[in-house]
Amino acid sequence: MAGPEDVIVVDDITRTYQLGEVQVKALKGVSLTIRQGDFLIVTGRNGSGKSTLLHQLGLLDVPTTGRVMLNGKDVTTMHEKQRNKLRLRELGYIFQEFALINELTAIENVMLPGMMIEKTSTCRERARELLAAVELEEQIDHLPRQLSGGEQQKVAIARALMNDPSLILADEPTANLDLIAASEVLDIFTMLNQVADHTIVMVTHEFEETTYGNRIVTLTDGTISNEE
Amino acid sequence: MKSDRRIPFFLIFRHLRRSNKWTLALIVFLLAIAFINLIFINSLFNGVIESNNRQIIDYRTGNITMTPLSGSELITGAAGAVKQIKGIDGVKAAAPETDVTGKLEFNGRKGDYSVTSIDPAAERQVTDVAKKMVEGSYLEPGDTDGIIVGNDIAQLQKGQAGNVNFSGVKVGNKLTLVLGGQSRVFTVRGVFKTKSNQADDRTFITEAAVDVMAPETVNTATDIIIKTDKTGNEEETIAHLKAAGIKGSFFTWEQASESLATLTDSFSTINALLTVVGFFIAAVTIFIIIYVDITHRRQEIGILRAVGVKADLIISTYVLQAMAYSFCGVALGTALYFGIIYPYFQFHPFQIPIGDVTLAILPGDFVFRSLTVIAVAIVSGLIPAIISTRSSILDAITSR
Repeated sequence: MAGPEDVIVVDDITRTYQLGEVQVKALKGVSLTIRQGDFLIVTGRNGSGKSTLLHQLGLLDVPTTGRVMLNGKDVTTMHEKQRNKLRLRELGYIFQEFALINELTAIENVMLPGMMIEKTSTCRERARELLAAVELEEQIDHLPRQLSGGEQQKVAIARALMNDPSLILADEPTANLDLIAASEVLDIFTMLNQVADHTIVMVTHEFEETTYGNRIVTLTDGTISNEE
Repeated sequence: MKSDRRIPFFLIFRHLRRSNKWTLALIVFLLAIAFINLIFINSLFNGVIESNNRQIIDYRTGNITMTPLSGSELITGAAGAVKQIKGIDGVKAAAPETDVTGKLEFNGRKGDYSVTSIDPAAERQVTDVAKKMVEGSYLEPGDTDGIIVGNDIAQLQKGQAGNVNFSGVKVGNKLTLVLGGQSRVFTVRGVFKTKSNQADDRTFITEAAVDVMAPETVNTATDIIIKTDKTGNEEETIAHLKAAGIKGSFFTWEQASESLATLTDSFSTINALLTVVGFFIAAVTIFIIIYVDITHRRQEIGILRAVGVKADLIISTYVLQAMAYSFCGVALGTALYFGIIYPYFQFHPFQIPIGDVTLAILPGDFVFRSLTVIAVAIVSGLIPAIISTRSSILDAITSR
């Protein structure tokens, strides 16, 4: 049963991929509860199932078996339209490769999810505030190709925050960044968690980054091998 | 408008403004070429048919040909009939013609040949043969000794089909016409070349000359050629002629020219076949262009889905984008066609044996082909957009 503080409850999920004639079991019965205010670090070696787990939490994929409950609702049986609505309003997803639309400026990328809900002027104002919060007020009209990797990731973070989601998911957000940019991005996550009380799940395979979270889950071969 | 309905326009506007200009230009140019290909073949065949029709009207039958009633060989009281016809609504001019068959002789060569007698002044009002003299001059009214011959007669080579071989006949040469036992020498006043094989094998003398040789034919005609105010109102004018009680059989230029129907049908069939092939090629070309463009943007579609943009808005975005491409392609194609191709062929018509051919596109054909390009573009945008919104978001983002 999900408690009032539980943002997401993962109940014994498995995920099996069919690669040609080979079946790959990426997740083998993972159960996990993420509560309001958690900064959960999911770590593990390559191929351990970290990103696959995050895809289930971000409603980008559907588990083969088991359930995922988001704010008390079973999202595994939902129609794609409902899952889409939850992605828009409840989740902010940050990709390793930034995943920005190349033909939109920084501010346009940030305001895009908001435009599904609010007036353009409202979205523009909020996007401007979010970009200022990640110290990109000078680059709001820059296209992604005119930004560094760290700046692009900050834009992606601002976009994830646009609709004030209940859960922020970050898939190895520093993997393509240099040390300084990575540190800046991690500081933003810490601020979001500690100051703004956002719930965050971040996947990383960098041991040093695990210190930023208040909970750590280690995956090994598709199962949780350690939880702190 | 719901706020999210602005998203497709928001994305398209920025895509058109910021994506690679050369790629955009290439896509629009290829769509324009596909569109031009569709209208060019059609307008060429329309041009052939129209040119042929024009020649029949201008050099042979006029818009309407009146012949004697069944059972009669001649229209009697031709002058009165012409006068009456000229007074009918929709009639611009009318002129009598009489075909007489006699023996023509040139340089010792002689044979049966049909010669047409005309009133030169009236004939100028109904046909344009007078404007196509390549040597000498047209007949003058009252010229009882003059004859003009078509280029096909003057250039007839030995051994070619024909009753009389006039090869080498020139202005000033003498031709002898034997009609009803009477013989009369005519001087060649001119040679005409209309490029219509239905006109260039004719010879003309004045009705004054025939009146001298065969007084019993005075005020008669085998045909009355009628020119109407505009092409297309022939049936209506015939109804007026009949209602006025004018005694005769009336034929539109299409009915009067037996070979025309065959030719038009043949060209229409070829046109239809080539149009189908053209449509297929254009459809495949447009489909590939749009499909490849949108398929290359699967990652973008995946990102849009991941941030929560609704599938129908994503599909609308790429369909509207394909429409924008096709509008630009049609606009560019139209500009190229009417700005360069069409005027070029007006000044440099195709010269084919049946005459000079320019391009002619009918408004209906133009609209239909424009809509075809747009419709194919919409389908081409719709299919990959639907596929991408139904596939796994992760596959789309990673472009797997």
